[in-house]
Amino acid sequence: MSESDEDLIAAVAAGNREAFGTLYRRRRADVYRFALHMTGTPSAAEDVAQDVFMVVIHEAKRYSPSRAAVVPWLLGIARNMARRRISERRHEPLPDGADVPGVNADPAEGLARSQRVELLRRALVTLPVPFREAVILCDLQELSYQDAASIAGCALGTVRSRLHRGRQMLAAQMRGERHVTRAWPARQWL
Amino acid sequence: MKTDIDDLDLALALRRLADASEPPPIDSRREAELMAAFDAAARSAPPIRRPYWGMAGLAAAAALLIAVGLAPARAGRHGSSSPPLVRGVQTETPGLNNVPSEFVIVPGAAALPPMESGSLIRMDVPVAMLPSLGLTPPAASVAAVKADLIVGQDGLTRAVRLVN
Repeated sequence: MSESDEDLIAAVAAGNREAFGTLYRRRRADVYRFALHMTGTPSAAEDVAQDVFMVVIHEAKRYSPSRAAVVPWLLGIARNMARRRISERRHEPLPDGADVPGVNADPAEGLARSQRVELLRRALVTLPVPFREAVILCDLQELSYQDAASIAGCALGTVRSRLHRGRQMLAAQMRGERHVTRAWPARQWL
Repeated sequence: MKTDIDDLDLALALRRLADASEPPPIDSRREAELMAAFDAAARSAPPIRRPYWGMAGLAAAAALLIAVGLAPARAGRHGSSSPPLVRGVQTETPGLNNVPSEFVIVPGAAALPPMESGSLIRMDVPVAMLPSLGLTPPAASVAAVKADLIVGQDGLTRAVRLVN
């Protein structure tokens, strides 16, 4: 039987090297995906994931299962790292989609569908950060509202309203109503 | 209804976006860096504290400090003209040049979530990074300086001080 995430964190805190390696291989993908959607660039997502596990090395002993499950705890760290990166490169141009791994661009499978996913990815990156993280945590990472609220450091109702508004903005962008998010100073709204 | 179709479209697109975001394979160099950092942290981990002896040591230190602190005051109160035997706690040791400065709050730290727990980490910080941490670079032409960083539960630095 494989160890739970909580067991692994406890073992990491006790200095178990193998447990750290296992935790990294098991949860890196969750952290990477979250960071990718938040920052919009694979290289930044890799860096954030690396930074998160660097923090785990030093902070594992402070982890408390009673406060959060391991994945929300990791994503909470990733959120802060990603927000810092977003604020640091506020004036950079938006990333293009050329270097995004895994986006299906096979014409036989439906170019329109690929373009739609790509359009959504780009729209997501332009959302103001609070709305973006609500959509990522709830819709893409499929976390509960409760977990999303604890990660975002806000009330559960706030997550609901941000998610609702974020979806509205995304849908409007998908319909081509670009003015909807243009009204928000998205790149400066942290 | 138009809105329902939009919601469904969006939900499908979000699902496809989630599915299309597979991470690249683990970079062995990055993994090796992490494992090396883990080993380094394990080597520098403080020994397990024994509460009883820790408390006893603290109590002894406190008693010593009180005794040292009271000695000059007692001498003065009794009007003794002879110089006090103890002039106070020496704060600087000659030849010891790694006296830390005061901690300063890192710019932007005030906007971070409240610090619930954290670590004190001593590390070499490139001199070029000091202004961004709110510190003035030293006059000496060195590439890096030792600094103590207070890092919060989220891994973000809250305060920093120079060691030498």
